[in-house]
Amino acid sequence: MAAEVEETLKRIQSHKGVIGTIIVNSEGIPIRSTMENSLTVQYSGLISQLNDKARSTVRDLDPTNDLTFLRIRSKKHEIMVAPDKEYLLIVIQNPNE
Amino acid sequence: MPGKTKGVKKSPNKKKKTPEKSAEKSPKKSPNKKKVSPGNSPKKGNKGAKKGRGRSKSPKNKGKRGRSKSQEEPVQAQPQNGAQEAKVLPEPPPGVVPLFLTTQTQQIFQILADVNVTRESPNVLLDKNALLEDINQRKAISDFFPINEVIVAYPSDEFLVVYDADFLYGENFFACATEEAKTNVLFPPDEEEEEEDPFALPDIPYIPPEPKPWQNLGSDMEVVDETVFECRPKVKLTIMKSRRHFAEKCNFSNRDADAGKDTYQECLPNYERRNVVCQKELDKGTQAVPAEEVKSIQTEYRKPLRQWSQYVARELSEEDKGDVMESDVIDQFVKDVTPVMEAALQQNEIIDVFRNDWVKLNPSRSMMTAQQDSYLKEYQSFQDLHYSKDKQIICDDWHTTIPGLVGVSCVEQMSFDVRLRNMSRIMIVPSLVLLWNYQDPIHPRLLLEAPDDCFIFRFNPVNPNLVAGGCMSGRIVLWDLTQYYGKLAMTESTIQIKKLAFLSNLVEDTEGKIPVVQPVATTHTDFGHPSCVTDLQWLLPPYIIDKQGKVIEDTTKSDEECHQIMSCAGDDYFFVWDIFVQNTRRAHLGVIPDVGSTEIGHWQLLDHNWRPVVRINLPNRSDGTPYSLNQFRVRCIAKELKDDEGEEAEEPEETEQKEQVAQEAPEGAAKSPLSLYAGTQAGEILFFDLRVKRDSDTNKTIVCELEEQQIHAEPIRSICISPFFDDLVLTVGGFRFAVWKVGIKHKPLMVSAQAPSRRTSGVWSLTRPSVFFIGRQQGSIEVWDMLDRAQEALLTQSLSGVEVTTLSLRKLGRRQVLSVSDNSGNLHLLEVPLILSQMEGDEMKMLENLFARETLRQETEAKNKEEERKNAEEEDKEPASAPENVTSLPPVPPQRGVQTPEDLAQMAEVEYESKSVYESYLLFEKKMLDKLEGKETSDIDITALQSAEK
Repeated sequence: MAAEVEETLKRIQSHKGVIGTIIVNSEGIPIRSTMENSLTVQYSGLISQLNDKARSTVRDLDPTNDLTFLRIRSKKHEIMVAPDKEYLLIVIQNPNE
Repeated sequence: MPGKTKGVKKSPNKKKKTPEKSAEKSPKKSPNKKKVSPGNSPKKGNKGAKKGRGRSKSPKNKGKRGRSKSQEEPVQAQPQNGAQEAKVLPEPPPGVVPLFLTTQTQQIFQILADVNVTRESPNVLLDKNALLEDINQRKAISDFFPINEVIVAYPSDEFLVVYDADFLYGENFFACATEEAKTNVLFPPDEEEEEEDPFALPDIPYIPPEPKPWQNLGSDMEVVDETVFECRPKVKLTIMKSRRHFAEKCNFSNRDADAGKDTYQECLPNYERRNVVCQKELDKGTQAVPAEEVKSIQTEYRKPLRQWSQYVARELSEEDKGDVMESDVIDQFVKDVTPVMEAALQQNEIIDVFRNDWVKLNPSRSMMTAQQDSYLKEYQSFQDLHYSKDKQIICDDWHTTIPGLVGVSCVEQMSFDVRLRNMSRIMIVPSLVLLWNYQDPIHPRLLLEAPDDCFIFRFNPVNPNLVAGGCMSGRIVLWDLTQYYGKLAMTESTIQIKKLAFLSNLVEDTEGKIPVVQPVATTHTDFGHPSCVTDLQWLLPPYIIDKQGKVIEDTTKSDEECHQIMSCAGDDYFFVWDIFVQNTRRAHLGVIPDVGSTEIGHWQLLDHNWRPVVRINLPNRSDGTPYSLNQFRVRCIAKELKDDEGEEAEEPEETEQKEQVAQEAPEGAAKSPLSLYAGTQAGEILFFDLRVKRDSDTNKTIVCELEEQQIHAEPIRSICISPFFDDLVLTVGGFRFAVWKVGIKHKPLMVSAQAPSRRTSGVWSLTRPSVFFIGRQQGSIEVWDMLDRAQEALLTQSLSGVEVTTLSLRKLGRRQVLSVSDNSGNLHLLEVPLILSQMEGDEMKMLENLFARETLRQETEAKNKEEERKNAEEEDKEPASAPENVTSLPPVPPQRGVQTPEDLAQMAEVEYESKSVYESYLLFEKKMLDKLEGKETSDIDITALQSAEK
């Protein structure tokens, strides 16, 4: 099982310009990361909060709706968040690379 | 007397006596006691002595007595009131006997209560004998009967009876049984008081004040101030009335006010001439008070904390992580999430999300065509009525360090013949170079006087205090502005202040204040140019030209000095001048070399003795005639040479060329760091490196190699090197201008079409590499952008009807200013619009692309030409070859109306070739005919000929 997960993550990591991949649980605790520890902690803490906020926004607007994907485009990177029930997948990409 | 009265009024008192007696009895106990006490009696004997003693005391206690009594009474009254209520009466002092006297008794003795005796004066002295007599007469009825014994025993004649108004001792009167009591009552003792007041001051004997001598403590001044002195004589009035009017009768009657003059007195206002004393002095005091300022500052006070908490991000242990990773949930999660994520990632790979569309729009291009704010605006114009009006400005140059300082040289605009005719006048009028500051358009800052009309002058690029000029007579002059630098650098405001100062003094006219600078050095007449100097350039350090004409790097002097001048004057040679040559000569002569000196002493040595370092000749034209130089520009290519050395292998062509050059000119320097572009009066453009060889026959220093191009039909008026590409040159002459790129084998990159009027000057933009400005004879200015359009000017703006003679550009703060001088002595400063001065981001790249394209075009053209020539040669060799070959070579179409010299040359060549082809074709046709028609025709011909001969 774990091998499959690893393989998938590797595949994502191999995309052009991907800086890091982080899996975070619903409490914002990183489970697996390819980035250095301090950045991982920051990203997982902040992005999971933002994700919760975004999800609640979507749900408040329409209770039958749900958040499926979150893309944050910044000057330097793009942060992509794929939320699920229990976990979050965060991928940081710099497409200019 | 009292004895008489007492007998009369005896009876009425009797009846009253009994009820009062009963009341009297109770307090009587104490008087009884008193009677018994004998201790007091001995004092009774000397009543008189006591009296006298008491009297002597009286003056001292006189005031006190009344007071003490009045004090005593209320004090005693209160206890008496209290005693009456409590029915307890105070015990009378020893010797005092309360006594009730009936009204009858009172009448007898004339001591009626509240009539004869009052509360204020209760004491009355009764005669002892009268009392005894009363007792004897009335016996028991007498009020004094109870105290009969006391009276009998009383030693003195006068018995004191005191009216007791307040019933102090129970009765309405009391008597003093002893002499002592009497004294005490009459003169109440003040021992008690003295005892009561232990803090009383001791008796100080009264000393009457004595007059003292007056002591002056300053009050005399006040006294004097207050004193009123007579300052004028007193007014004396004498009112007189004649005697006859005294006691005169007078009749009064009514009369109107205006009935007669004497009825009213008019008081007209009249000016009073009075000596008014104005206040001229004023006493005032001022005090400097230190300025106070109240300020407050608050430091931030944070609540001190004794404990802190630090948070650590929660993390899962490795085991937990492993468990999670092993779980099915995460597996499912990754499976769910991956496709979405990959889609997003791929989207980013396909489209550049960070592309800035706004930049890509490139709005500046489109702005270019917009009409708004794309014109040159006149910013300032200078003309001096005395020195520059109706003269031609032949040259202008900007000061290198002082911003906004521009110099112009004015010459008479006359043809040679007219000049000769007016020689006498021209000789007198000084020839001047005016230095203007853009802040003052009326008064030039400085005038540089030349011995002759100065046709060209240049500021030294390193030390702008030195100005070199070239004169019509062919002389080179040098001005030193060191001592005027302060004046030149002055701002407008300071000058105005100075002017005002002068005006107020009326000492000198402001116009006379413009200083005239005489040249510090002029060349030796014999060694100067034989004709008018047409161009002059300072050689930029570190290169100098030595006596052999070689370009060497100047190692002896610092890089900061620029001391060599190149000049030309319509001949086929350049002169190189050095302002320091004299010093080296001095050094040779044993004088201490003073290399960097620009002192006057140095100039004196140089003046009239200035000789050129070297004269560099140009080789003659191919037809043997000499060139006549008009303009030139020096370009330093040392850096390129160094690069070339490194890249020899990559550029074999150039090295070959250089080797050839080296073979051809073994005497000259193999590589020269200086390259020259020169324009002649015949319109040729010459490109050459400054490599010289010495011609042994004529002993001349001649430039080795020269490339000549002829585009212009008239003298070259201007040569300008681009500030961005130093191999990009703009030449102006006659009716057209050309842009040359040296890399493209000295073929022009662009040649303009013939303009309706002559083009007289040109200058590259300082900020945009593709833009240049062209001045025209009819007074307009063209702005060209090589990238925008090549067939016509971007902008043509008419300035004045007068010929534009020179153009130059300078940055003045944020503005870029184009200075345009014209034939009538005006210098205009035009502000270059922003769109013409702001470089677009990719302009350099686009221009480089243009160069590359043009190079390619010229190469293919050359190749085509080469092929063409070969074909032609082949045709010549093999006439049978197809003539279509020639026509199949299409001439390269001229690029959008630009007539490149190639086109012209090619057209000529094509013409020539087609002509030759046509001729060869005729020949060919003839041959063919011959072949076709065979011998018959030839026979006929022959026979015909033969017959003709016959």
